[in-house]
Amino acid sequence: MYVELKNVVKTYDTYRAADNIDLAIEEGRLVALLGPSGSGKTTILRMIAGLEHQDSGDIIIDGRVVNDVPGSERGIGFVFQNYALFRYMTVFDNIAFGLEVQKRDKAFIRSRVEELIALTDLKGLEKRYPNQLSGGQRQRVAFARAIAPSPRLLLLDEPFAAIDAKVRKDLRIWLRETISRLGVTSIFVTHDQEEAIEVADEIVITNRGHVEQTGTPMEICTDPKTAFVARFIGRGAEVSRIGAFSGFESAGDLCAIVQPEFVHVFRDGEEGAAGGVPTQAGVVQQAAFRGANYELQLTACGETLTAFRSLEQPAPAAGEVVQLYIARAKGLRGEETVPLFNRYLAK
Amino acid sequence: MIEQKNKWVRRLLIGLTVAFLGLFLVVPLVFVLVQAFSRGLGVYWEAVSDTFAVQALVLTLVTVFTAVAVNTIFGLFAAWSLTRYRFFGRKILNTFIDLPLSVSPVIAGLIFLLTFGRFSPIYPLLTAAGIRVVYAIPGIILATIFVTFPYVSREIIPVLEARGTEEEEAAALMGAGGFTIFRRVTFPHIKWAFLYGIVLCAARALGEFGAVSVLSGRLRGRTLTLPLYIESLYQEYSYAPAFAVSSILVVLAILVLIIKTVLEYKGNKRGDL
Repeated sequence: MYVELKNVVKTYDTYRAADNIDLAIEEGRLVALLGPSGSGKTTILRMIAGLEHQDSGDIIIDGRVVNDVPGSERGIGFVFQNYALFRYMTVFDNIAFGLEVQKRDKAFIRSRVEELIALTDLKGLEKRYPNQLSGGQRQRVAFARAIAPSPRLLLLDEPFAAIDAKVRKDLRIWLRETISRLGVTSIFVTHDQEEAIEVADEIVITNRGHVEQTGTPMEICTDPKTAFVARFIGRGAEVSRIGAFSGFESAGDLCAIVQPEFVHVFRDGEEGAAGGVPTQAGVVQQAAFRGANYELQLTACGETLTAFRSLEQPAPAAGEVVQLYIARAKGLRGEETVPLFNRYLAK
Repeated sequence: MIEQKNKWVRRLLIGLTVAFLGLFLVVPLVFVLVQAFSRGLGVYWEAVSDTFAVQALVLTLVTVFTAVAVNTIFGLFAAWSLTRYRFFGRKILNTFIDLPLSVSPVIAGLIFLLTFGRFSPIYPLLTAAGIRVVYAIPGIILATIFVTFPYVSREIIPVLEARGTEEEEAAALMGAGGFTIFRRVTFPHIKWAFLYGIVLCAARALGEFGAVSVLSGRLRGRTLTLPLYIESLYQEYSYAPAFAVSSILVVLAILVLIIKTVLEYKGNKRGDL
């Protein structure tokens, strides 16, 4: 394990920002810390960086306990949420700063900075000041500055939060590719699940100061282990009695989360497409165009469900009675989750 | 219709402002110069080059220089501590810094008179050490430092506060030491506010009358600063010399005003003030 946190506790006044955190991150991975705001993800990142000090517990980087090692000696690069670029230095001087304080020789600094400027596609902007750059360019400068001293661990605090949506998409892909090319172990904080799923090799879900679940994006999405993760990931609707739906009778009174991608909706005359799986009636409350598909709000068996419908199919209108079945759901038993499948599909 | 009305309001307001400034600032300034030269260039030159006048000017400049130097250094420390550290009593200290702005300078003078004067418990100690504070130059300098203390720190604090600590954190994480961080990251940011504060501090120190008046002892040629010297000339009915010496202060004030305007212009261009 390259980075490990063991029983780490951090309290601000009475608020537990980190409540017995245990975390292990393998070398070379790109890991997302994902959670709602106030869940402690930024605190974890800042403690690894040495910007905050834990009340108790150990932080281990590369086999060395770094509890009392200052951040500057932990071999990390840090990208701040608003980049914190030195606004009175040019792009070149920003990137060179870390190497200059290490007293590297001039020729080395020049060649290293030029190499990073090429890597981050900032050629021609060397003499600009941060306020003369776009959001995406600033982010790339912050990235280049953080990796200039060749850190073994890169930490990024909400790296895409300050960028407009259009550029964000490209930057995510760029960052992912660049980090995997450099092979540097990286941890980034985000509250955007889509971002975490798209960028990370591994996602750590935090909630109220503890780790809920760690896994690949696929594991997190298809197999949430706790009730919190089941509710947090995706856009699922909570159903108070899943046993009321056909195919789930054996689940009885269990409460469950139903993701919209597992709700199949058929208009009058389309039931044949259900392939013989028994359906039941539901009423469309709302049909909203979402760019890539329609999002439907439905009521069935006294519960509210969300479903997607392809743009190729005609959109049902509000108030229309449709037929539907649920393919799978996540039952909630206390803090645990139980995978549930439609028994007619299992055959 | 509204356009028309606005035009009149605009003219009225601009007219009032110009009239007010003219009446209260320009006319008195012109009068100072008219009075100064009212008895001819010869009398003017005599008054300005008088030994006592020159000594008062030197004392004033020494006082201004010392007060500005001390307040620059401590103002910087105070601003740094108040914005970069969280400690018990920080808010109270922050309010306390402004005390000299709200206390009448005469009271400031009396405070030092009580602290270092004949009735103070430390007076015997000072006399034994051969130090005279009250009715001497140290008293004048102390009073001026007190009165002008807030100017530098007050200019820097909002700039430091608005900017946050992330850039410094970033520099520290890369291994930069405290002085490097200050020199390369913090100072470039507060530079214009800092210089502006120094200029304001100097302007205030130059004209300080009340506090200095209490502690001066009024020994002509020894403990009279320019404002006090002017007042003593005036008390002796030497109007033309009084105004002649005043013109020195006016010139110094205009000089400071020009520096201030240049600094404001430069600071604005970088968007710092």
